[in-house]
Amino acid sequence: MIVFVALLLVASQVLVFLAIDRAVSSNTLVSVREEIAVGERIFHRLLRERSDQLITAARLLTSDFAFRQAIASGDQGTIASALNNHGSRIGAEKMVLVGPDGRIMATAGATATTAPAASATAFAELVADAARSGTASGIKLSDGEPSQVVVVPVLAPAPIGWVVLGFSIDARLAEELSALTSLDISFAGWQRDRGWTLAASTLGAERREQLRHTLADVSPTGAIGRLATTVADDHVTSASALSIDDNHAVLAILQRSMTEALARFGSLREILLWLGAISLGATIVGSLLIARSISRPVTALVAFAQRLEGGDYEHGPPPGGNDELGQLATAFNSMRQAISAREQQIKAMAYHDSLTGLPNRVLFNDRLHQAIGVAQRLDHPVSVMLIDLNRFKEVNDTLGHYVGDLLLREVAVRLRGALARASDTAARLGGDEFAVLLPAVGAAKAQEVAQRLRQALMQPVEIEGHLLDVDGSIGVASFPQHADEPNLLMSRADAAMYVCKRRRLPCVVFEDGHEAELDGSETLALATELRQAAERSEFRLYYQPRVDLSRRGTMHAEALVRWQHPQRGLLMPNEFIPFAERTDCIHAITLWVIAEAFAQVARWRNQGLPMSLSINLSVRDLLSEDLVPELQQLLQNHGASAQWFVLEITESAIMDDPERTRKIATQLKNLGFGLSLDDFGSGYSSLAQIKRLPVTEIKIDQSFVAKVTTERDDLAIVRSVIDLAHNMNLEVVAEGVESQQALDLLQRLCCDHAQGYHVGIPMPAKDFEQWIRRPRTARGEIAMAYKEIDA
Amino acid sequence: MSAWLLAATAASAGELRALVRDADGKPLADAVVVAVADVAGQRAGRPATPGTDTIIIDQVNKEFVPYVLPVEVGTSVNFPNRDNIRHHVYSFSDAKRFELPLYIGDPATPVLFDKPGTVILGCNIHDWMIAYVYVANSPYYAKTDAAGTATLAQLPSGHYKVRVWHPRLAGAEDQTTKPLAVTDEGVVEASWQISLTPDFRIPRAPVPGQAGY
Repeated sequence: MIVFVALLLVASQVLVFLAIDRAVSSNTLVSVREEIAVGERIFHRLLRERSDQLITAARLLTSDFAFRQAIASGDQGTIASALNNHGSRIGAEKMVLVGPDGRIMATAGATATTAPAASATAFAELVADAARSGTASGIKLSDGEPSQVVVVPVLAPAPIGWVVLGFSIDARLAEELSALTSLDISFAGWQRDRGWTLAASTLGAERREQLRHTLADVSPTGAIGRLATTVADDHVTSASALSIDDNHAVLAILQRSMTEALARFGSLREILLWLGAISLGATIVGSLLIARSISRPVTALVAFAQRLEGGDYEHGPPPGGNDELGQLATAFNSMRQAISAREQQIKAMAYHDSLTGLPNRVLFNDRLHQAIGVAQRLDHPVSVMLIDLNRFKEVNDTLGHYVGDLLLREVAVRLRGALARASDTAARLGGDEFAVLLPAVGAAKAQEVAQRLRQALMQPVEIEGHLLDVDGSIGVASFPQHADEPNLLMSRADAAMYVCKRRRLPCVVFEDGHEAELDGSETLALATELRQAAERSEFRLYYQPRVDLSRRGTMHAEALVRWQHPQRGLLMPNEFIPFAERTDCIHAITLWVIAEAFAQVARWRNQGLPMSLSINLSVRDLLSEDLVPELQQLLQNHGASAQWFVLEITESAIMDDPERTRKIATQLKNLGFGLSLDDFGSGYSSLAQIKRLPVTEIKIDQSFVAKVTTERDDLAIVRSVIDLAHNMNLEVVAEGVESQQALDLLQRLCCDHAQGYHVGIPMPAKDFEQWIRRPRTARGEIAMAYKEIDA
Repeated sequence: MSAWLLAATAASAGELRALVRDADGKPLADAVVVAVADVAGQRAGRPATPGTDTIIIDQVNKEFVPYVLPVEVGTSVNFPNRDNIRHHVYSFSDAKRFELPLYIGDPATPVLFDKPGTVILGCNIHDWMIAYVYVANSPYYAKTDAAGTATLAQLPSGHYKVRVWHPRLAGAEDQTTKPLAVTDEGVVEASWQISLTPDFRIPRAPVPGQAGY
């Protein structure tokens, strides 16, 4: 920058200097030409004046009485001496007396004796001129020397002769004229037979020689032209002929030296150079000062801005003064802080879940990659857990998103609280899906952590007056045991989680078979297939018998749906019903099941088999406005009676929307359907709610019944439930009865109905008909056989 | 003098009337016409011998008066100075070389012009003063007037060579010569056309304090 400014300045100064120099040169040439022109005018005027002076002097001379007397004497000697005497008075070099008839009467002076005849011819013209006009003057070449010649009459008082006086044009005259005109002056004479002679000149010897050289071999007119066009050798020249005829010529050559003329501008040039040097120096000094005050702070600010660009928000801008740059630096600093703050915010938004404050999927993946990178180097294991909340969607749908959000926050708090180490990361991957990263933790230890998490989760939560039961399915996978890279590890944990969910287990560690059991594309295909299943009649209805413990009669069964999948074979409800519930297919399936059940019972009744059936309703079914009219329609279609059927409602359905459930249940009850509360004890339904429902029976969850013979707690619960139900005039059904001991125990506890593998497995209608017609003893074997297959 | 010439005419018979003009044809004053008789005896009838009357050239107001004075050889001329300043009359002419150094009033003696020819008079004090005395070798002469005419009366009959002279005559006087015959009772007329040299009269010096002169 400074260099550029300096160069610019130097360039401009050089240009100015050249321009001035050129202007000076051309001006000088012009002014020299003017000087020459002026000088020439002065020169000619001086010559004229000189000749006038000479004429005057000559006239005074010739009017001298004694002179006239001498002339009139007619004596040659007297005349000559008088001429000499008087002529030398006025400095004439040459004196000639010409008679009135034109003859030379006498000569005198330095060259008087050399060639009087030549003089006579040279002056004849001037004398004739004088005879006409009284006096005459001119420059004449006499004896090769240029002279200024004047001719005056000798009056006595009429002309008695003419006195010709010659004044030589010599160096003195040239010097004199040169001093007056400031020009170099040279006189050159030319004779046809002898060429040029340089009579007088103020030039130095060298230039005199140049002039001789220029004049050589040219005629007088040619010489004038040549000299006028010659500006060579730094001289401007002007030549004029003082006299010219065929044989003689006298030239005056006026010259002006350009070098001398330019020398006058030398000082100007010097001043310009000094000015240039001074301003250049001043510019450099100024530029350095500017650099110090502007360039450097600007450079520092630029560096700061580049650091900002690179994401360095740690360091502030360079300290500035109170000037504009200082203000700029301050503004930059504010900008830095604002950008930094916003970036923090954006980062937080980008890497954290805004609802729970937990890291999001991006950050989780980031940390997972880091953890695996570290683990690879240190040969450590890394475990991940995927946690999916069970029935969260139901909470969201029934209690609203606000409650759902609060629940998710609570879950986040609990997850964080349950993690002991700072290096463990709990994240929300989206929806109700959470993940935990456990660096340096193997599968076994991870399972322990999972148990701890689950315990933490299972504490009931009270939100907005609702007591909610939180439960999660936890899938665990470990590096390097299950996968050697992060993405695979995550998908393995995912698989384990789905298996866990499907099997309703609290926690599952990945095993090799899990993936085959579930993969993403299969799930998607399942949705499509599920929609088509009803049309293709792929659903089958199985019937699981239930015994009336008081009468031991078996005329009641629970209708259970199976999916005869073309590729996968027979699928159990838990393999597609939860999925169907998520994808809205459930209602279609329910309607199909109900229709089929109505038709079957109608057929059995027609065959004289007084069967009644329990049919499962999902939460979604209960929330549908259309359910009641649809059921009425189906009863009509199949000629069935509502009294033949018991509709089973899950406890969770009641919890989701108790009011609505109660309303629909009442309508169903009014139609004549029996109502059963399914899975009692697995949820947190309150007795108050149950009391308001028009249910006719309670089904004790199989988890209690399964261990009723071994666990005292379970026995107590079952007994309490039975007592409670009976007190409320409700019948009690025990599910999951798998042994004779359990059956006997339940009978002793006065349980009304029993259902389970020990009683009878779910079977197709045809098998069920056969089963029901067999003697009671044979039934168990068949049941056992089914159980084995089913397992 | 013309009065004298006219008076002479009455006594004799012959008369010459001359007209002189310059090259441009303009009448020329101050030209002198001289008739020289072919025969010397013709002088017999000549009027009174000169010298008895005093012939003068005045110096008036720094000029010679007359400008041209023709006289016969042997005539004395006086140069009275009528100005109140001195004059210095001189002549370098071959016909009469003389000098009257600075004087006032009448010089003591008149100047005798004893040789024929032209005598140019000047004043050494006043350069412009000039006068010509034409000394004729014949008694028969006359000066032209402003009309360029001159009359030579009382010429005895006979043959004459008549010539013309003028102060600025270019060329030789002889070349103007014309032969003329004069009878007793007759009037002879003749005319000349002559070329002149440039006028070299020196201008008067201006009197200090006066414009011009």
